Amino acid sequence: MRYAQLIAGCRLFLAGCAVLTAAFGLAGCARKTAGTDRVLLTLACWEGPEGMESLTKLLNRYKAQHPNVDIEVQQVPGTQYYQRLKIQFAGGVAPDIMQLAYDQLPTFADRKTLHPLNALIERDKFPVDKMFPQLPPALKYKGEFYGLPRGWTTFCLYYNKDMFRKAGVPFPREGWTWDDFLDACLKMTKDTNGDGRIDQFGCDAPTQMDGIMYWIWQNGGRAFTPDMKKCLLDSPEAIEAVQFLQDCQYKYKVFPSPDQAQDLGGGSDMFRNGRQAMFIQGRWGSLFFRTAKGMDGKPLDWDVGPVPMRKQKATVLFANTYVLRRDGPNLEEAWKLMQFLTGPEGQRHQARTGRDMPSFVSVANSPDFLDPNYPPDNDRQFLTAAEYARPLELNPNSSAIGELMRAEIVQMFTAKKDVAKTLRSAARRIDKLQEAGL
Amino acid sequence: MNAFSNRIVRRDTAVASAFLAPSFIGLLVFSVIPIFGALVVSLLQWDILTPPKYVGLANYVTLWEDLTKGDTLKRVLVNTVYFTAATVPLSMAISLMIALLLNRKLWGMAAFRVIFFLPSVTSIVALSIVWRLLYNPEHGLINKMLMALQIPWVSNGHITFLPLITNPPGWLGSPQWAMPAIIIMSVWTGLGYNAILYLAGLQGIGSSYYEAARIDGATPWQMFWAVTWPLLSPTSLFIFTMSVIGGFQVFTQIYMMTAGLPTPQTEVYVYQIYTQAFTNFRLGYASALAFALFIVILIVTLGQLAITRRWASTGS
Amino acid sequence: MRKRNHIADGAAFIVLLLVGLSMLGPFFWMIAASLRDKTEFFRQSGGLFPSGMHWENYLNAWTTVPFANFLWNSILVSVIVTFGQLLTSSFAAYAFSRMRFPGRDGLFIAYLATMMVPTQVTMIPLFILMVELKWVDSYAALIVPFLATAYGCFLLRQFFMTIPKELEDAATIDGAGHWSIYHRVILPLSKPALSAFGAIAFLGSWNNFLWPLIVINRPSMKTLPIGLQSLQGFYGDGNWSVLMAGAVIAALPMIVIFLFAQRHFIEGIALTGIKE
Repeated sequence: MRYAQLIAGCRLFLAGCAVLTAAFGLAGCARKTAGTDRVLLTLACWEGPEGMESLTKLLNRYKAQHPNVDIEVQQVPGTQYYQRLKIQFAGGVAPDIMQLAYDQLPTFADRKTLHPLNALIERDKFPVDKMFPQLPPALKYKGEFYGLPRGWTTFCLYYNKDMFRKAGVPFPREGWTWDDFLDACLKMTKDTNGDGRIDQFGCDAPTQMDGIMYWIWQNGGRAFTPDMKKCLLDSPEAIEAVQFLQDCQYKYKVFPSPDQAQDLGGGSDMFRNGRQAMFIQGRWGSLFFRTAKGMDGKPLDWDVGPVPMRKQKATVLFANTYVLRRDGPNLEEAWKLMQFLTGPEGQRHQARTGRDMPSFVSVANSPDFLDPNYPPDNDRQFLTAAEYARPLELNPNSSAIGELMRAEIVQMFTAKKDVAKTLRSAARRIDKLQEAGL
Repeated sequence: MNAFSNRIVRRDTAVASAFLAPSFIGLLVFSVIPIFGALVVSLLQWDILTPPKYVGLANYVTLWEDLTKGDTLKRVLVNTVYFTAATVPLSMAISLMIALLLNRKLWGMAAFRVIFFLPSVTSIVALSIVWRLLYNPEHGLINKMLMALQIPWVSNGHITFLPLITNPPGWLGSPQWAMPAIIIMSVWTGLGYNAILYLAGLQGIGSSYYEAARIDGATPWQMFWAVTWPLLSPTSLFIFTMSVIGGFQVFTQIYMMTAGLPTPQTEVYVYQIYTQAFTNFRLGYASALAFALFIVILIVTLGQLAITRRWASTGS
Repeated sequence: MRKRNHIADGAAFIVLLLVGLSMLGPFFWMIAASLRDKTEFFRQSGGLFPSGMHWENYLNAWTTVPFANFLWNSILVSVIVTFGQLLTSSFAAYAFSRMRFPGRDGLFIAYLATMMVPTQVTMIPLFILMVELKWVDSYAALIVPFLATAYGCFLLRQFFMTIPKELEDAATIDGAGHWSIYHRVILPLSKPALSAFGAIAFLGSWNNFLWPLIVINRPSMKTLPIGLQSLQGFYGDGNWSVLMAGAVIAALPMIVIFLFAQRHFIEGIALTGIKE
């Protein structure tokens, strides 16, 4: 090879690279300054492979109705989701429309990253009054709507009917207590194949705030004073509730340890693989459990019941919302897409997937949601629970508070840290955090 | 210096600037200025979405307090030192052994070199995923092999086989075995790389040294300590320094192998920097942590330079 | 005539063989696991080999996350960075080794000094720079910060200094200026060093993890390592087969490149250990 040619080629290549880099840089701008009618909307969500199927169907239907719109879906795993969003906001490359858990709304809205929706809702008459009354407060910050729900859910208790029958335990019913719950767990935590290792468990440990809050509420406690200024996680009611859970983990050993969970699959996988009797979650579990198979390869026989109670009934609600990027370049198109996804048509589609509860009361009471052909038989349970469901106590610091508590909860349920001490120190740190206005 | 050479030097300077410009600008903007940037950021409190706030040395105070009175930073430092102190000697010893064996020029050396180097070329992300499965307490190959080990035992007049290990370690999920798991995996990954370096060093030792030793009647063991080891010291020192610096900076395999699992026993320094900066968005504090790391690495590197210089001058 | 100690040789060979097996073992396991049906992991059985060849795991992995994008991004970025580093480093190395100008040696030491700065220190200010420049989620963020490297300048200078001065003098007599000497004399003679360093630079860029992790959020812009990491985010401990398939896909390109260019890589590594 002639080296002169090689070098000349190198120079040419470098020039080409410069052009390419410039071209790609410009291509990034092109989506904003689309001279033609085509619009590229970016939508961020944390859907995994299973959820994507139904979302893709819905988006395809929208694209069929709006042929000039392209939608790029940015799927980001849940564990990094908010991190990524914050960085994208900082870098000015945030997506046009995003999924956001309702408990993050105050944090993001406060930092002026989300587009306020009151004006748009009024102008286009989006039917917020037809939603369940528990929802609008969870979607607003300082009186302004910032998100509209893809769907919502109350947390209820999934249970494995087979295991209950085999252990002779009555199915969970309204008004059953912590003692009933513990009793059921004890009866169903065992070594099923005689290899000396426990491979079936009653239930599992919480991993974040919404996993412990309803236990605290059931015990009459709260996370904060109503004005959100002082943290009450160190109150005796709260400590008692979390202590009960920690005892289930370490004293009664009816929850798997991280060791045990690791090889049997964490989170909902244990219930899904037929190794756990109960699992408390929102309705999205229904989607995954419909295709679940137990250890014997047969479909899982499951249903849904209420969470246990103590001094009062309480469960937590969760709303999955879509939000818009504040003053984004494609705002009107993104708003149209959002109305489709959160409006009646999108709600009916969502309800049929078994993912969450529709936000509109009419859709919730229709066969789209209450379909008897799919488990759970007891879909109505989610609606009944709505009567005593509460949103988490939130303010703009909730993101940081949630992170702090997540770390503490991990310590209490994997490293057996003392509950009273941990909650007291956490409450103090949360108070300091709020004062510093971090 | 006459006029002619002055002119040459001047011309050289102009052309030299042209040749140096790309790397100079690049290094200035992306290596030098950021060092000062890091110092500046460490004096701020910033979460990237809101304007920064000047807080002076507050971050360093927090750092010091957490180090002396808190438990996170202490734990993180201990983990990092534990990791480094375990991987460096292990890696050096095993790779030296491999290099010595490879140096015998047996049949298949080229193939061996490729095989040993394979882990160093493969993305450590992919390797972390494989090793995470290998370490799985119930389904991973490692525990399966450990549980398959059996020893013969006499009972009731027959010989039976009993499993040697009835309670295999929980590896990544267990507090005592999590870090050893990562250490083993890290050593495994770096063996080929270090072995190649040692091999290059070994091949640089003239055979005359060995001849002289043999004439003196030295055994292979003595030859190693009297000839090989001393003449390898520059290579050893280089590998040592690189490994120590690398040890302090370890991140990827920890991030990948402990994802979703509690990490108190395996959280290392850079992981803490990353978490503070990009999960908690405390950029100022994270920068202070990073700057502290810089100082430590600087000391280690300067130390290595000083030792090298001393050896070179004394001709050791 | 020295007698070979055959017993020692044999023992050495066996040890090397065992070590070699332990090196290859995880790779075989990776492939074997990627071909299993995902529920095989949760049953007690499951020997060394998968019960069937479930190639659909690969399809699954390829479509769950945009592997095509990852591959393309990695190639584009690594190629440009490698060429960029070769160019900027060889320019600087030439200046340091072949030219005389005031402050030359001091400047070289300054270059070397930048090698002592760990990336973790610069990554936060550089991240802030990317945010300000609006380079987040862009190729520029992945390429531009890496175009200059003191490491390359050091290595190539060492090599250039071994090229005899006579060749350069001959060219000067023919009236060649520095640019001609550079690309007609020095570069052709440096092919081994350039390809060795190029291999190392390519490897480093390809496997870069922490920086892309910070600066790239949009899935379609990710490179292979962080793309694979997002696959783990979706499948976690629930579906090992697809995850392993993804790991194989991600690891394969570099392994193939390595097998074809082993000599360059190994020489490149050996070069790094050379001290003056």
